[in-house]
Amino acid sequence: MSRLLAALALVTLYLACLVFAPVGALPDLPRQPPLLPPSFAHPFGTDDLGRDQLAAALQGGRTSLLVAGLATGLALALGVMVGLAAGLARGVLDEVLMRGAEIVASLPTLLVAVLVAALFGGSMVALALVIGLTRWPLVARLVRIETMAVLGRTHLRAAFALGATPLHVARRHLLPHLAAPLGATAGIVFGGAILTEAALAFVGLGDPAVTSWGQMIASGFTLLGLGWWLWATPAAMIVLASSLVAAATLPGVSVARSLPVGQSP
Amino acid sequence: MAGFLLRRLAFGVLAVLVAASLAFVLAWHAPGGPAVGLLGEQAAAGQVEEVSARLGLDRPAIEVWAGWMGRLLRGDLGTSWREQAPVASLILERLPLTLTLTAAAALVAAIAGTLVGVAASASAARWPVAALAAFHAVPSYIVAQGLVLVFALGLGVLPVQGVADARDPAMGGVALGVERLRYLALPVAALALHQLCFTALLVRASVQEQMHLPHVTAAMARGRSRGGARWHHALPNATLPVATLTAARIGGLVGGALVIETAFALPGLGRLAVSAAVARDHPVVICCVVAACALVWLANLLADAIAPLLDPRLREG
Repeated sequence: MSRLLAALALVTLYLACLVFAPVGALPDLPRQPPLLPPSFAHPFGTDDLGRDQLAAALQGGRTSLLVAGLATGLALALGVMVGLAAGLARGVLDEVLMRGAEIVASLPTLLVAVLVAALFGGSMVALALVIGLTRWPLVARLVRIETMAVLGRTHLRAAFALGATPLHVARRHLLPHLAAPLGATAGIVFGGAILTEAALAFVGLGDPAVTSWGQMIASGFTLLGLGWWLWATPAAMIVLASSLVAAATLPGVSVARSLPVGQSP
Repeated sequence: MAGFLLRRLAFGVLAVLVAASLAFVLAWHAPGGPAVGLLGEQAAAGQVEEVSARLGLDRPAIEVWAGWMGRLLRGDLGTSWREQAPVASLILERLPLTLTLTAAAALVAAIAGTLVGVAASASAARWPVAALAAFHAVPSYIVAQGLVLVFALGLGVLPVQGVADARDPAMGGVALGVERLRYLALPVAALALHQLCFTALLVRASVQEQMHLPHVTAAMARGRSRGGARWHHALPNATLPVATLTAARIGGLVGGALVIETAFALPGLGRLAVSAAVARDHPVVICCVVAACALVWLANLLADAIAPLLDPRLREG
Protein backbone atom coordinates (compact mmCIF):
# COMPACT_ATOMS: atom_id res chain seq x y z
CA MET A 1 0.00 0.00 0.00
CA SER A 2 2.70 2.47 1.01
CA ARG A 3 4.64 1.37 -2.08
CA LEU A 4 1.69 2.31 -4.23
CA LEU A 5 1.40 5.68 -2.51
CA ALA A 6 5.10 6.35 -3.00
CA ALA A 7 4.88 5.41 -6.67
CA LEU A 8 1.83 7.67 -7.10
CA ALA A 9 3.58 10.56 -5.33
CA LEU A 10 6.61 10.14 -7.59
CA VAL A 11 4.50 10.10 -10.74
CA THR A 12 2.62 13.18 -9.51
CA LEU A 13 5.90 15.00 -8.75
CA TYR A 14 7.21 14.36 -12.25
CA LEU A 15 3.92 15.11 -13.96
CA ALA A 16 3.95 18.46 -12.17
CA CYS A 17 7.49 19.06 -13.48
CA LEU A 18 6.44 18.13 -17.02
CA VAL A 19 3.25 20.19 -17.02
CA PHE A 20 4.09 23.24 -14.96
CA ALA A 21 7.77 23.87 -15.69
CA PRO A 22 8.14 26.85 -18.01
CA VAL A 23 9.45 25.90 -21.43
CA GLY A 24 12.69 27.55 -22.43
CA ALA A 25 16.03 28.05 -20.80
CA LEU A 26 16.50 29.35 -17.29
CA PRO A 27 17.82 32.80 -18.31
CA ASP A 28 14.45 33.48 -19.98
CA LEU A 29 12.49 33.25 -16.73
CA PRO A 30 10.80 36.53 -15.79
CA ARG A 31 12.88 38.53 -13.32
CA GLN A 32 11.64 39.22 -9.80
CA PRO A 33 13.44 41.01 -6.98
CA PRO A 34 16.55 38.87 -6.23
CA LEU A 35 17.03 36.73 -3.11
CA LEU A 36 13.44 36.78 -1.84
CA PRO A 37 12.97 34.21 0.93
CA PRO A 38 10.21 31.60 0.41
CA SER A 39 6.74 33.13 0.51
CA PHE A 40 3.29 32.43 -0.91
CA ALA A 41 4.15 34.21 -4.14
CA HIS A 42 7.48 32.36 -4.48
CA PRO A 43 7.27 29.13 -2.46
CA PHE A 44 10.96 28.33 -3.09
CA GLY A 45 12.11 31.97 -2.99
CA THR A 46 14.05 33.64 -5.80
CA ASP A 47 17.72 33.23 -6.71
CA ASP A 48 20.50 35.80 -6.90
CA LEU A 49 19.35 36.88 -10.37
CA GLY A 50 15.69 37.18 -9.36
CA ARG A 51 14.46 33.99 -11.02
CA ASP A 52 11.72 31.97 -9.32
CA GLN A 53 13.41 28.97 -7.66
CA LEU A 54 10.27 26.82 -7.95
CA ALA A 55 10.18 27.30 -11.70
CA ALA A 56 13.88 26.40 -11.86
CA ALA A 57 13.35 23.33 -9.65
CA LEU A 58 10.49 22.15 -11.88
CA GLN A 59 12.72 22.55 -14.92
CA GLY A 60 15.42 20.55 -13.14
CA GLY A 61 12.84 17.85 -12.47
CA ARG A 62 12.00 17.66 -16.14
CA THR A 63 15.70 17.21 -16.99
CA SER A 64 16.13 14.37 -14.52
CA LEU A 65 12.87 12.75 -15.63
CA LEU A 66 13.88 12.81 -19.29
CA VAL A 67 17.36 11.39 -18.64
CA ALA A 68 16.15 8.76 -16.17
CA GLY A 69 13.15 7.75 -18.27
CA LEU A 70 15.21 7.33 -21.43
CA ALA A 71 17.96 5.43 -19.60
CA THR A 72 15.49 3.11 -17.86
CA GLY A 73 13.69 2.35 -21.13
CA LEU A 74 16.97 1.48 -22.82
CA ALA A 75 18.20 -0.66 -19.91
CA LEU A 76 14.88 -2.54 -19.78
CA ALA A 77 14.78 -3.18 -23.54
CA LEU A 78 18.39 -4.42 -23.68
CA GLY A 79 18.12 -6.37 -20.43
CA VAL A 80 14.92 -8.16 -21.42
CA MET A 81 16.33 -9.10 -24.82
CA VAL A 82 19.64 -10.39 -23.45
CA GLY A 83 18.01 -12.09 -20.46
CA LEU A 84 15.40 -13.88 -22.55
CA ALA A 85 18.00 -14.95 -25.12
CA ALA A 86 20.32 -16.29 -22.42
CA GLY A 87 17.54 -18.00 -20.49
CA LEU A 88 15.94 -19.61 -23.53
CA ALA A 89 19.10 -20.57 -25.41
CA ARG A 90 21.28 -21.83 -22.51
CA GLY A 91 24.64 -23.31 -23.46
CA VAL A 92 27.34 -21.28 -25.17
CA LEU A 93 25.19 -18.25 -25.95
CA ASP A 94 24.07 -18.04 -22.31
CA GLU A 95 27.70 -18.26 -21.16
CA VAL A 96 28.87 -15.54 -23.57
CA LEU A 97 25.99 -13.16 -22.80
CA MET A 98 26.32 -13.53 -19.05
CA ARG A 99 30.12 -13.06 -19.05
CA GLY A 100 29.54 -9.96 -21.18
CA ALA A 101 26.96 -8.73 -18.68
CA GLU A 102 29.49 -9.29 -15.90
CA ILE A 103 32.07 -7.15 -17.68
CA VAL A 104 29.60 -4.32 -18.27
CA ALA A 105 28.34 -4.53 -14.69
CA SER A 106 31.87 -4.02 -13.39
CA LEU A 107 32.26 -0.70 -15.22
CA PRO A 108 31.79 2.19 -12.82
CA THR A 109 28.78 3.90 -14.43
CA LEU A 110 29.64 7.29 -13.05
CA LEU A 111 33.23 7.19 -14.36
CA VAL A 112 32.08 6.26 -17.87
CA ALA A 113 29.41 8.96 -17.67
CA VAL A 114 32.05 11.49 -16.62
CA LEU A 115 34.23 10.57 -19.63
CA VAL A 116 31.33 10.84 -22.05
CA ALA A 117 30.22 14.13 -20.53
CA ALA A 118 33.75 15.55 -20.70
CA LEU A 119 34.38 14.32 -24.26
CA PHE A 120 30.96 14.90 -25.80
CA GLY A 121 29.69 17.81 -23.73
CA GLY A 122 27.17 16.18 -21.41
CA SER A 123 24.07 16.32 -23.59
CA MET A 124 21.01 14.71 -22.04
CA VAL A 125 20.75 12.03 -24.72
CA ALA A 126 24.42 11.02 -24.41
CA LEU A 127 23.99 10.77 -20.65
CA ALA A 128 20.84 8.63 -20.95
CA LEU A 129 22.67 6.38 -23.43
CA VAL A 130 25.58 5.86 -21.04
CA ILE A 131 23.35 5.05 -18.08
CA GLY A 132 21.11 2.76 -20.13
CA LEU A 133 24.06 0.97 -21.73
CA THR A 134 25.80 0.31 -18.40
CA ARG A 135 22.75 -0.68 -16.32
CA TRP A 136 21.14 -3.42 -18.43
CA PRO A 137 23.04 -6.33 -16.80
CA LEU A 138 20.91 -5.93 -13.65
CA VAL A 139 17.76 -6.46 -15.74
CA ALA A 140 19.28 -9.22 -17.86
CA ARG A 141 20.31 -11.29 -14.84
CA LEU A 142 16.86 -11.03 -13.32
CA VAL A 143 15.07 -11.93 -16.58
CA ARG A 144 17.42 -14.86 -17.19
CA ILE A 145 16.89 -16.37 -13.73
CA GLU A 146 13.12 -15.89 -13.86
CA THR A 147 12.99 -17.35 -17.36
CA MET A 148 14.88 -20.44 -16.27
CA ALA A 149 12.64 -20.83 -13.21
CA VAL A 150 9.44 -20.58 -15.24
CA LEU A 151 10.55 -22.70 -18.20
CA GLY A 152 10.15 -26.00 -16.33
CA ARG A 153 6.52 -25.37 -15.45
CA THR A 154 3.79 -27.51 -16.99
CA HIS A 155 1.99 -24.90 -19.02
CA LEU A 156 5.21 -23.92 -20.77
CA ARG A 157 6.12 -27.54 -21.47
CA ALA A 158 2.64 -27.91 -22.89
CA ALA A 159 3.08 -24.81 -25.02
CA PHE A 160 6.37 -26.13 -26.42
CA ALA A 161 4.77 -29.56 -27.01
CA LEU A 162 2.03 -27.85 -29.02
CA GLY A 163 4.71 -26.39 -31.26
CA ALA A 164 5.06 -22.87 -29.85
CA THR A 165 8.22 -21.05 -30.92
CA PRO A 166 10.52 -19.57 -28.25
CA LEU A 167 9.49 -16.10 -29.43
CA HIS A 168 5.81 -16.91 -28.91
CA VAL A 169 6.48 -18.36 -25.46
CA ALA A 170 8.54 -15.30 -24.54
CA ARG A 171 5.79 -12.92 -25.59
CA ARG A 172 2.71 -14.77 -24.32
CA HIS A 173 3.98 -16.55 -21.22
CA LEU A 174 7.27 -15.13 -19.99
CA LEU A 175 6.86 -11.36 -20.30
CA PRO A 176 3.51 -11.17 -18.41
CA HIS A 177 5.07 -13.25 -15.66
CA LEU A 178 8.08 -10.89 -15.54
CA ALA A 179 6.05 -7.69 -15.26
CA ALA A 180 6.17 -7.37 -11.46
CA PRO A 181 9.92 -7.99 -10.87
CA LEU A 182 10.72 -5.87 -13.92
CA GLY A 183 8.71 -3.02 -12.46
CA ALA A 184 10.75 -3.10 -9.27
CA THR A 185 14.04 -3.32 -11.19
CA ALA A 186 12.97 -0.46 -13.43
CA GLY A 187 12.47 1.60 -10.29
CA ILE A 188 16.00 0.84 -9.13
CA VAL A 189 17.50 1.76 -12.50
CA PHE A 190 15.36 4.90 -12.61
CA GLY A 191 16.44 6.01 -9.14
CA GLY A 192 20.10 5.36 -9.97
CA ALA A 193 19.76 7.37 -13.16
CA ILE A 194 18.28 10.37 -11.32
CA LEU A 195 21.22 10.33 -8.92
CA THR A 196 23.82 9.84 -11.67
CA GLU A 197 22.46 12.72 -13.71
CA ALA A 198 22.39 14.98 -10.66
CA ALA A 199 25.91 13.91 -9.61
CA LEU A 200 27.31 14.80 -13.04
CA ALA A 201 25.61 18.18 -13.04
CA PHE A 202 26.92 18.71 -9.51
CA VAL A 203 30.50 18.05 -10.63
CA GLY A 204 29.92 20.56 -13.43
CA LEU A 205 29.77 18.12 -16.34
CA GLY A 206 26.07 18.36 -17.13
CA ASP A 207 24.62 20.17 -20.12
CA PRO A 208 25.25 23.83 -19.26
CA ALA A 209 22.19 24.89 -21.29
CA VAL A 210 19.80 22.82 -19.17
CA THR A 211 18.76 23.39 -15.56
CA SER A 212 19.39 20.43 -13.26
CA TRP A 213 18.96 19.80 -9.56
CA GLY A 214 22.62 18.82 -9.22
CA GLN A 215 23.80 22.07 -10.75
CA MET A 216 21.36 24.10 -8.60
CA ILE A 217 22.69 22.34 -5.49
CA ALA A 218 26.32 23.08 -6.43
CA SER A 219 25.71 26.76 -7.11
CA GLY A 220 23.32 27.08 -4.16
CA PHE A 221 26.01 25.86 -1.78
CA THR A 222 28.47 28.52 -2.87
CA LEU A 223 25.74 31.15 -2.37
CA LEU A 224 24.62 29.74 0.97
CA GLY A 225 25.55 32.95 2.75
CA LEU A 226 23.01 34.85 0.65
CA GLY A 227 20.06 32.57 1.34
CA TRP A 228 19.60 29.05 2.68
CA TRP A 229 16.77 28.32 0.25
CA LEU A 230 19.11 28.52 -2.75
CA TRP A 231 20.69 25.25 -1.56
CA ALA A 232 17.94 23.67 0.52
CA THR A 233 15.13 23.63 -2.04
CA PRO A 234 16.92 21.75 -4.86
CA ALA A 235 18.51 19.45 -2.27
CA ALA A 236 15.06 18.72 -0.83
CA MET A 237 13.72 17.98 -4.32
CA ILE A 238 16.37 15.38 -5.07
CA VAL A 239 16.14 13.75 -1.63
CA LEU A 240 12.34 13.60 -2.03
CA ALA A 241 12.52 12.02 -5.48
CA SER A 242 15.23 9.60 -4.40
CA SER A 243 13.38 8.50 -1.25
CA LEU A 244 10.15 8.05 -3.18
CA VAL A 245 12.00 5.75 -5.58
CA ALA A 246 13.39 3.83 -2.60
CA ALA A 247 9.99 3.62 -0.92
CA ALA A 248 8.39 2.39 -4.12
CA THR A 249 11.04 -0.23 -4.86
CA LEU A 250 12.49 -1.42 -1.55
CA PRO A 251 9.50 -2.31 0.63
CA GLY A 252 10.60 -3.54 4.05
CA VAL A 253 14.00 -3.75 2.43
CA SER A 254 14.33 -7.40 3.44
CA VAL A 255 13.68 -7.62 -0.27
CA ALA A 256 17.16 -6.17 -0.67
CA ARG A 257 18.46 -9.69 -0.04
CA SER A 258 16.75 -11.06 -3.11
CA LEU A 259 17.88 -8.22 -5.35
CA PRO A 260 20.57 -8.92 -7.88
CA VAL A 261 23.58 -7.29 -6.28
CA GLY A 262 24.53 -4.31 -8.36
CA GLN A 263 26.39 -1.06 -8.13
CA SER A 264 25.11 1.77 -6.10
CA PRO A 265 24.77 5.03 -7.90
CA MET B 1 40.21 -22.92 -5.28
CA ALA B 2 43.49 -21.67 -6.76
CA GLY B 3 42.33 -22.65 -10.23
CA PHE B 4 39.06 -20.84 -9.68
CA LEU B 5 40.84 -17.66 -8.60
CA LEU B 6 43.26 -17.91 -11.52
CA ARG B 7 40.37 -18.21 -13.97
CA ARG B 8 38.68 -15.22 -12.40
CA LEU B 9 41.92 -13.23 -12.58
CA ALA B 10 42.29 -14.04 -16.29
CA PHE B 11 38.68 -13.00 -16.90
CA GLY B 12 39.32 -9.82 -14.94
CA VAL B 13 42.24 -8.94 -17.24
CA LEU B 14 39.97 -9.51 -20.23
CA ALA B 15 37.28 -7.30 -18.66
CA VAL B 16 39.78 -4.50 -18.03
CA LEU B 17 40.96 -4.71 -21.67
CA VAL B 18 37.35 -4.47 -22.84
CA ALA B 19 36.87 -1.39 -20.63
CA ALA B 20 40.08 0.15 -22.00
CA SER B 21 38.88 -0.50 -25.55
CA LEU B 22 35.57 1.14 -24.76
CA ALA B 23 37.39 4.21 -23.44
CA PHE B 24 39.55 4.19 -26.59
CA VAL B 25 36.50 4.11 -28.86
CA LEU B 26 34.84 6.94 -26.91
CA ALA B 27 37.99 9.06 -27.00
CA TRP B 28 38.59 8.36 -30.69
CA HIS B 29 35.09 9.44 -31.67
CA ALA B 30 34.95 12.58 -29.55
CA PRO B 31 34.04 15.61 -31.66
CA GLY B 32 36.91 16.89 -33.80
CA GLY B 33 39.16 13.87 -33.30
CA PRO B 34 42.00 13.53 -30.80
CA ALA B 35 44.48 15.98 -32.32
CA VAL B 36 41.95 18.81 -32.75
CA GLY B 37 40.66 18.21 -29.23
CA LEU B 38 44.22 18.53 -27.96
CA LEU B 39 45.12 21.68 -29.92
CA GLY B 40 41.78 23.46 -29.77
CA GLU B 41 39.40 24.47 -32.56
CA GLN B 42 41.60 27.28 -33.86
CA ALA B 43 44.57 25.06 -34.71
CA ALA B 44 45.95 25.34 -38.25
CA ALA B 45 45.54 22.32 -40.52
CA GLY B 46 49.29 21.79 -40.82
CA GLN B 47 49.68 21.86 -37.07
CA VAL B 48 46.96 19.22 -36.63
CA GLU B 49 48.65 16.96 -39.16
CA GLU B 50 52.02 17.43 -37.55
CA VAL B 51 50.68 16.54 -34.07
CA SER B 52 48.71 13.60 -35.46
CA ALA B 53 51.85 12.23 -37.08
CA ARG B 54 53.97 12.79 -33.98
CA LEU B 55 51.47 10.97 -31.75
CA GLY B 56 50.96 8.24 -34.33
CA LEU B 57 47.30 9.10 -34.78
CA ASP B 58 47.39 9.30 -38.60
CA ARG B 59 47.11 5.54 -38.92
CA PRO B 60 43.80 3.60 -39.05
CA ALA B 61 41.96 3.39 -35.69
CA ILE B 62 42.30 -0.38 -35.47
CA GLU B 63 46.12 -0.14 -35.75
CA VAL B 64 46.34 2.56 -33.09
CA TRP B 65 44.04 0.52 -30.84
CA ALA B 66 46.07 -2.67 -31.30
CA GLY B 67 49.26 -0.76 -30.50
CA TRP B 68 47.86 0.72 -27.29
CA MET B 69 46.36 -2.54 -26.06
CA GLY B 70 49.59 -4.39 -26.82
CA ARG B 71 51.63 -1.93 -24.79
CA LEU B 72 49.03 -2.02 -22.00
CA LEU B 73 49.38 -5.81 -21.81
CA ARG B 74 53.14 -5.42 -21.47
CA GLY B 75 52.58 -2.99 -18.61
CA ASP B 76 53.52 0.15 -20.55
CA LEU B 77 50.90 2.79 -19.78
CA GLY B 78 52.33 5.33 -22.22
CA THR B 79 53.09 9.03 -21.91
CA SER B 80 50.69 11.85 -21.09
CA TRP B 81 50.17 14.17 -24.07
CA ARG B 82 49.52 17.16 -21.88
CA GLU B 83 52.19 16.79 -19.21
CA GLN B 84 54.84 14.85 -21.15
CA ALA B 85 55.20 12.61 -18.11
CA PRO B 86 54.74 8.83 -17.86
CA VAL B 87 51.07 8.05 -17.23
CA ALA B 88 52.05 5.42 -14.68
CA SER B 89 53.66 8.02 -12.42
CA LEU B 90 50.67 10.40 -12.76
CA ILE B 91 48.31 7.61 -11.74
CA LEU B 92 50.52 6.31 -8.95
CA GLU B 93 50.61 9.85 -7.54
CA ARG B 94 46.80 10.01 -7.34
CA LEU B 95 45.89 6.39 -6.70
CA PRO B 96 46.79 6.21 -2.96
CA LEU B 97 44.28 8.93 -2.08
CA THR B 98 41.41 7.36 -4.02
CA LEU B 99 42.37 3.94 -2.71
CA THR B 100 42.44 5.19 0.89
CA LEU B 101 39.13 6.98 0.45
CA THR B 102 37.38 3.99 -1.11
CA ALA B 103 38.85 1.37 1.21
CA ALA B 104 38.19 3.42 4.33
CA ALA B 105 34.61 4.11 3.27
CA ALA B 106 34.01 0.42 2.46
CA LEU B 107 35.50 -0.65 5.79
CA VAL B 108 33.61 1.94 7.84
CA ALA B 109 30.37 1.06 6.06
CA ALA B 110 30.86 -2.68 6.59
CA ILE B 111 31.75 -2.45 10.29
CA ALA B 112 29.41 0.36 11.36
CA GLY B 113 26.67 -0.95 9.08
CA THR B 114 26.88 -4.39 10.70
CA LEU B 115 26.76 -2.92 14.21
CA VAL B 116 23.82 -0.65 13.37
CA GLY B 117 22.06 -3.53 11.60
CA VAL B 118 22.37 -5.88 14.58
CA ALA B 119 21.18 -3.14 16.94
CA ALA B 120 18.23 -2.41 14.64
CA SER B 121 17.34 -6.09 14.43
CA ALA B 122 16.47 -6.13 18.15
CA SER B 123 13.44 -3.94 17.52
CA ALA B 124 10.43 -5.02 15.52
CA ALA B 125 9.44 -1.39 15.04
CA ARG B 126 9.35 0.07 11.54
CA TRP B 127 11.12 3.34 12.28
CA PRO B 128 14.74 2.06 12.14
CA VAL B 129 14.07 0.71 8.67
CA ALA B 130 12.39 3.92 7.59
CA ALA B 131 15.26 6.02 8.98
CA LEU B 132 17.92 3.88 7.30
CA ALA B 133 16.03 3.90 4.00
CA ALA B 134 15.67 7.68 4.21
CA PHE B 135 19.42 8.23 4.81
CA HIS B 136 20.14 5.75 2.01
CA ALA B 137 18.26 8.04 -0.36
CA VAL B 138 20.41 11.12 0.30
CA PRO B 139 23.11 11.56 -2.37
CA SER B 140 26.68 11.55 -1.05
CA TYR B 141 27.44 15.13 -2.07
CA ILE B 142 24.47 16.48 -0.12
CA VAL B 143 25.69 14.49 2.89
CA ALA B 144 29.14 16.00 2.23
CA GLN B 145 27.76 19.52 2.19
CA GLY B 146 25.70 18.91 5.31
CA LEU B 147 28.77 17.56 7.13
CA VAL B 148 30.84 20.55 6.00
CA LEU B 149 28.13 22.92 7.25
CA VAL B 150 28.01 21.29 10.69
CA PHE B 151 31.57 20.14 11.41
CA ALA B 152 33.70 22.54 9.37
CA LEU B 153 31.77 25.80 9.08
CA GLY B 154 29.55 25.48 12.16
CA LEU B 155 31.67 23.80 14.84
CA GLY B 156 34.99 24.44 13.14
CA VAL B 157 36.51 21.17 14.34
CA LEU B 158 37.42 19.72 10.92
CA PRO B 159 38.93 21.26 7.77
CA VAL B 160 36.55 22.29 4.96
CA GLN B 161 38.43 20.66 2.07
CA GLY B 162 41.81 19.67 0.64
CA VAL B 163 44.52 17.41 2.04
CA ALA B 164 47.07 17.74 4.81
CA ASP B 165 50.20 19.58 3.69
CA ALA B 166 53.03 17.04 3.96
CA ARG B 167 55.66 19.70 3.21
CA ASP B 168 54.83 21.67 6.35
CA PRO B 169 58.10 21.40 8.37
CA ALA B 170 56.21 21.67 11.68
CA MET B 171 54.54 18.34 10.92
CA GLY B 172 56.13 15.32 12.52
CA GLY B 173 55.22 11.73 11.74
CA VAL B 174 52.37 11.31 14.22
CA ALA B 175 51.07 14.87 13.88
CA LEU B 176 50.99 14.51 10.10
CA GLY B 177 49.09 11.24 10.41
CA VAL B 178 46.50 12.84 12.67
CA GLU B 179 46.24 15.79 10.32
CA ARG B 180 45.69 13.43 7.37
CA LEU B 181 42.91 11.67 9.28
CA ARG B 182 41.29 14.99 10.11
CA TYR B 183 41.19 15.93 6.42
CA LEU B 184 39.85 12.51 5.41
CA ALA B 185 37.17 12.20 8.11
CA LEU B 186 34.40 14.13 6.36
CA PRO B 187 34.99 12.70 2.83
CA VAL B 188 35.04 9.14 4.18
CA ALA B 189 31.90 9.74 6.26
CA ALA B 190 30.07 11.26 3.30
CA LEU B 191 31.07 8.42 0.98
CA ALA B 192 30.32 5.67 3.52
CA LEU B 193 26.85 6.71 4.69
CA HIS B 194 24.95 5.43 1.66
CA GLN B 195 26.61 2.02 1.77
CA LEU B 196 26.37 1.89 5.57
CA CYS B 197 22.58 2.22 5.43
CA PHE B 198 22.31 -0.51 2.81
CA THR B 199 24.53 -2.86 4.81
CA ALA B 200 22.57 -2.16 8.00
CA LEU B 201 19.26 -2.93 6.29
CA LEU B 202 20.69 -6.15 4.91
CA VAL B 203 22.18 -7.24 8.25
CA ARG B 204 18.99 -6.41 10.11
CA ALA B 205 16.83 -8.53 7.79
CA SER B 206 19.39 -11.32 7.77
CA VAL B 207 19.81 -11.43 11.58
CA GLN B 208 16.05 -11.37 12.14
CA GLU B 209 15.74 -14.33 9.81
CA GLN B 210 18.53 -16.18 11.66
CA MET B 211 16.86 -15.60 15.03
CA HIS B 212 14.12 -18.09 14.09
CA LEU B 213 16.51 -20.85 13.01
CA PRO B 214 17.00 -23.97 15.14
CA HIS B 215 20.63 -23.32 16.12
CA VAL B 216 19.72 -19.95 17.65
CA THR B 217 16.69 -21.40 19.43
CA ALA B 218 18.92 -24.19 20.73
CA ALA B 219 21.47 -21.67 22.01
CA MET B 220 18.79 -19.80 23.89
CA ALA B 221 17.43 -23.08 25.28
CA ARG B 222 20.92 -23.73 26.68
CA GLY B 223 20.63 -20.47 28.57
CA ARG B 224 22.08 -17.86 26.18
CA SER B 225 20.42 -14.51 26.56
CA ARG B 226 18.53 -13.20 23.52
CA GLY B 227 21.20 -10.56 22.98
CA GLY B 228 24.00 -13.09 23.34
CA ALA B 229 22.35 -15.38 20.81
CA ARG B 230 21.96 -12.44 18.46
CA TRP B 231 25.66 -11.52 18.56
CA HIS B 232 27.24 -14.97 18.86
CA HIS B 233 24.96 -17.21 16.85
CA ALA B 234 22.89 -15.14 14.46
CA LEU B 235 25.47 -12.50 13.46
CA PRO B 236 28.30 -14.80 12.23
CA ASN B 237 25.98 -16.34 9.65
CA ALA B 238 24.87 -12.89 8.56
CA THR B 239 28.40 -11.63 7.82
CA LEU B 240 28.99 -13.52 4.56
CA PRO B 241 26.50 -11.46 2.54
CA VAL B 242 28.09 -8.33 4.02
CA ALA B 243 31.53 -9.25 2.64
CA THR B 244 30.14 -10.14 -0.79
CA LEU B 245 27.98 -7.06 -0.89
CA THR B 246 30.78 -4.74 0.18
CA ALA B 247 32.95 -6.02 -2.65
CA ALA B 248 30.14 -5.95 -5.18
CA ARG B 249 29.42 -2.33 -4.43
CA ILE B 250 33.07 -1.19 -4.64
CA GLY B 251 32.30 -0.10 -8.19
CA GLY B 252 29.71 2.30 -6.88
CA LEU B 253 32.14 3.57 -4.26
CA VAL B 254 34.85 4.19 -6.86
CA GLY B 255 32.32 6.20 -8.85
CA GLY B 256 31.14 7.98 -5.72
CA ALA B 257 34.73 8.79 -4.75
CA LEU B 258 34.94 10.82 -7.93
CA VAL B 259 32.11 13.10 -6.85
CA ILE B 260 33.41 13.30 -3.29
CA GLU B 261 36.89 14.21 -4.56
CA THR B 262 35.32 17.12 -6.40
CA ALA B 263 33.23 18.19 -3.40
CA PHE B 264 36.28 18.22 -1.11
CA ALA B 265 38.89 19.31 -3.69
CA LEU B 266 40.92 16.11 -3.19
CA PRO B 267 43.63 15.39 -5.79
CA GLY B 268 42.58 11.80 -6.54
CA LEU B 269 42.10 9.56 -9.55
CA GLY B 270 38.60 10.91 -10.26
CA ARG B 271 39.79 14.49 -10.59
CA LEU B 272 42.69 13.33 -12.76
CA ALA B 273 40.24 11.51 -15.04
CA VAL B 274 37.95 14.51 -15.35
CA SER B 275 40.72 17.02 -16.05
CA ALA B 276 42.41 14.66 -18.52
CA ALA B 277 39.11 14.03 -20.35
CA VAL B 278 38.42 17.76 -20.60
CA ALA B 279 41.97 18.33 -21.95
CA ARG B 280 41.66 15.35 -24.34
CA ASP B 281 44.71 13.69 -22.82
CA HIS B 282 43.63 10.26 -24.05
CA PRO B 283 46.44 8.06 -22.68
CA VAL B 284 45.65 9.33 -19.19
CA VAL B 285 41.88 8.95 -19.65
CA ILE B 286 42.20 5.34 -20.79
CA CYS B 287 44.57 4.42 -17.97
CA CYS B 288 42.22 5.98 -15.40
CA VAL B 289 39.46 3.70 -16.67
CA VAL B 290 41.86 0.75 -16.54
CA ALA B 291 42.84 1.59 -12.95
CA ALA B 292 39.23 2.00 -11.79
CA CYS B 293 38.11 -1.25 -13.42
CA ALA B 294 41.10 -3.15 -12.08
CA LEU B 295 40.21 -1.87 -8.61
CA VAL B 296 36.65 -3.18 -8.95
CA TRP B 297 37.82 -6.57 -10.21
CA LEU B 298 40.43 -6.95 -7.49
CA ALA B 299 37.79 -6.16 -4.86
CA ASN B 300 35.50 -8.84 -6.27
CA LEU B 301 38.38 -11.30 -6.41
CA LEU B 302 39.23 -10.53 -2.80
CA ALA B 303 35.61 -11.19 -1.78
CA ASP B 304 35.66 -14.55 -3.57
CA ALA B 305 38.92 -15.38 -1.83
CA ILE B 306 37.78 -14.52 1.69
CA ALA B 307 34.27 -16.01 1.38
CA PRO B 308 35.54 -19.51 2.27
CA LEU B 309 37.27 -18.10 5.35
CA LEU B 310 33.93 -16.76 6.59
CA ASP B 311 31.77 -19.69 5.56
CA PRO B 312 33.18 -23.19 6.08
CA ARG B 313 30.52 -24.63 3.76
CA LEU B 314 32.29 -22.97 0.82
CA ARG B 315 35.61 -24.66 1.58
CA GLU B 316 34.60 -28.07 0.27
CA GLY B 317 34.66 -28.92 -3.38
